[in-house]
Amino acid sequence: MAKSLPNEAELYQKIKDEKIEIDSKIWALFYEHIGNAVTVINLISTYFLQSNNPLPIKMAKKILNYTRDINHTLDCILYPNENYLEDDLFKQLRKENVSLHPVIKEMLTHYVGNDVYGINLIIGDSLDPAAPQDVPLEHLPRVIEKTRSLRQFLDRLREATLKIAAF
Amino acid sequence: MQKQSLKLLVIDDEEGIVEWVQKIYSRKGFKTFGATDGVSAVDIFKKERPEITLIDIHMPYSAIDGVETLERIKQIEKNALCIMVTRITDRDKVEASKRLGALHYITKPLEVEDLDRVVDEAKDLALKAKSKSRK
Repeated sequence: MAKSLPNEAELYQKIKDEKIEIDSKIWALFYEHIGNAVTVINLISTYFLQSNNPLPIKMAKKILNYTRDINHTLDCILYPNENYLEDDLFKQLRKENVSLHPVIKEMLTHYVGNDVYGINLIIGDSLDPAAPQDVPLEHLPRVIEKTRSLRQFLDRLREATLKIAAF
Repeated sequence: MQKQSLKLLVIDDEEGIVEWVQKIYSRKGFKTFGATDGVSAVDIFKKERPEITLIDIHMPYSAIDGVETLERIKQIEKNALCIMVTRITDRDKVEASKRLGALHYITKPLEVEDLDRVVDEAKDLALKAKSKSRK
């Protein structure tokens, strides 16, 4: 899991005290783009782990494409004036000038950013352009752990910011 | 796992999810089918009658969403075992799915462990129903 921010407890307390919420359209973007990408990374890594096979170069590159998509979505959400996402929801967010509270921005940057960076490092380590190699089997649990960490962070943030009961 | 030719249909508008869920469960002995929109999923359901169906509730690029897909499937086979893939913001759709008789709900991002838990439970129910119908 991404290392906790030193002021994590304080940030969650601030969300609670100030009743900080996240617009439902932003959540929809998280799930549509980040949620799906994290799911596919988890599925691919688990498939090869369960097969007892290293991750082939082609699949490793596919995972890096998904992490690129996550980073791009995150950038678009964090800095809506500087980036662009071909998505009706995103266009609507720009039109309505919906923004995120700085506390949420800080947490997203740290937790999502670090876990995605972690996946890139684990996978990228084997993809030296001069001599790319399959990603060793023993590295796959670490990738899966990063996807779990991303999910746990989104779940916790969702719980802290949404005023509806979980299922 | 006991070898059974149970059929699993995966419906999700993210192609990567359909592809890899199919791969994982094919290896576990299921005969798998995939669809990236509700309409073609219902056609596959009519033809193949899968025992277990995994339905993404939110499919913005599909002519019908996951709830309507579930409704059409239940009209074809009222005992179909359907697992809904949801997100927290789909609360109304989850309630509608419950009323329509969905078996389970899991939330995205998915993890294979969670998926295994609900698919295994559906598999047990499907095998019991099969053995009952043989008697």
